[in-house]
Amino acid sequence: MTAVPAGTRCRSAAWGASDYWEMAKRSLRHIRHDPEQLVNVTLQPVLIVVLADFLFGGAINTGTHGSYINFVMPGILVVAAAFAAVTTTISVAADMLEGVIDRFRTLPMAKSAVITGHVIADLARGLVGLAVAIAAGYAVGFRPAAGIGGWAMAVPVFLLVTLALSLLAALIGLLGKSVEVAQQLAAIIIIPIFFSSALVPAGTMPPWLRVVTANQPVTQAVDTLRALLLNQPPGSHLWLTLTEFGGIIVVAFTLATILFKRTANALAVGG
Amino acid sequence: MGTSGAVGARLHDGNEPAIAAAGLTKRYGKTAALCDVSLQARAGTVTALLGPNGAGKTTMVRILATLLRPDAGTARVGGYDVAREPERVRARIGLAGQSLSVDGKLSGPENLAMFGRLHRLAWPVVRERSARLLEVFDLGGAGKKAVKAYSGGMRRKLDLALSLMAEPPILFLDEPTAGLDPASRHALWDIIRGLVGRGTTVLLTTQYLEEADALAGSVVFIEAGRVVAAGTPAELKARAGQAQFDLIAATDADVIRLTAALGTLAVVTDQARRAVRVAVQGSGLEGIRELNVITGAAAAAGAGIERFSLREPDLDDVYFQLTGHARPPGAAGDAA
Repeated sequence: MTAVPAGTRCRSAAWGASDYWEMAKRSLRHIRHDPEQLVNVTLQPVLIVVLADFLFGGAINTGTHGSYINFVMPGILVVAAAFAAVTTTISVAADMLEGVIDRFRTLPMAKSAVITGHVIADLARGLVGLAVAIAAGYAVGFRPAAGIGGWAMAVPVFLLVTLALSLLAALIGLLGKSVEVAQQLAAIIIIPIFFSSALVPAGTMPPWLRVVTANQPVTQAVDTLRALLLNQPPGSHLWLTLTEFGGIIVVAFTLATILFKRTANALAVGG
Repeated sequence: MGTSGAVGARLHDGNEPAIAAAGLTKRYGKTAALCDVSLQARAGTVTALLGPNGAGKTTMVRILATLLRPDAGTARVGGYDVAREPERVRARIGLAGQSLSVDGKLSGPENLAMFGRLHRLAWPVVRERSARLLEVFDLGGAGKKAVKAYSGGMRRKLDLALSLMAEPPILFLDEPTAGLDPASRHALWDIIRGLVGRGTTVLLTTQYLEEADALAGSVVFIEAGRVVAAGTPAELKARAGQAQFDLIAATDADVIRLTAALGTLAVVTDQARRAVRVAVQGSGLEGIRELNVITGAAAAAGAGIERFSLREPDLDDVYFQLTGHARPPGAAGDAA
């Protein structure tokens, strides 16, 4: 390679940002042409809120947290983020199977933008899901003690978790040999949520399970959100959440970029 | 990195071919999709890669378009090695393929704008070219409809429009008119001719001999991954043999009179139809003199002639000759 003039490098960075922006716009426009995507992220949180409050609300004693809905809402938010991420798995898997991937590959663009476009759209869907879940929560009695400060921290934490789950979802989308297989594999994202403090207090679990749940990232995230929304100090949960999910983001993004290049090459067969 | 097609058009060396492939080989498992294929295309010309289904045409295009790595051999496109500097090659090529590389969940204008920006063109350029391409390809009427609702022909036109966004100096077209109606096909041919007139180098694959003849300055025949013939359409047609003067005699007795008058020149090709074929050896004036002799002899013998036709060999003859398939009797081109 020849040396790149200084000005060109600046331009390249700007064009790289433009690539990410264009691919994000692409995925957001997909929502407009395919609005069913939003049914997933709006209906599911409502169903879970209703299910949690009316079905489990009476049966589960959460101790110091007051009503079950106040306890479970942060968990529901993470569940909603995970369900929203499954859409990313499907979008990525579908992209890899369609001819459009060839055109992306022949462009002088930042290739990772193909993945991040879907992830950014997922953040937008996640925010919609967040708003719907909270509205549904309010309707059944969710009354968080958090003030502006608590919310101002909770929303970025939620987005961080969504981003990490979405990148994992993209990674799974790249692994699936078909859209259906990828969708099945996406359960990998959902399952850890049930083995966390998201839906039930960890105190009632058998000791071995308590060790697993207490030390997995989803529990840290849920405990952080719970503390922030109930206006309690999040303590070490906040820092653990930031480092663990930050780590997941870096690893998942790196793996997804490598896998994208590899999968795209492997798919390149012709007649 | 070139920000416009014009920058990319300049090759390292003015004499270097726009596309130069040497000894390309690609295997899928045990089957060789390509075996030692070489070709060269001069800048500003159309080269047709002709062959039946599964001949390796798409594999060839995918290697040249940096989408596939060859197992052996080298290829330079636009002055750069496809394996070593794929990004530089990508900045100089456009690809419209059988796979229809369009985003079905976006509208046509959205596709053009997105790919224009991903080609790193400035917004005013993107807007101007999108508007022009929508007009040239007659796609403006589709408006904001998602591409998945387009007809096959419209998708194909959009696919080609997308590959023209960056005005690439080199264009790969993989069966660009497969499945198009005749009007759309001719419209597409006109567009391709216009591009070549302005200096674009085109490599197209096709199964249609008519298409290769209509567009290409040179033709490379491949079958089962190997080059079986290459040359200009005229050279290839010359290989297929001479022009043929076909006569249909009025009665069986006329057939006998004709063959008696013309001697070994005449061959009865179909007794039932009373068809007599006379091969014309020369071309141009020489051929006309031969025809004079033939028609004169036929008239002098008093043979009744119902119909006649003169047929130049076409690429179909080359195709059937090279692929070893028999030309079906009475196939296109035999008509009076």
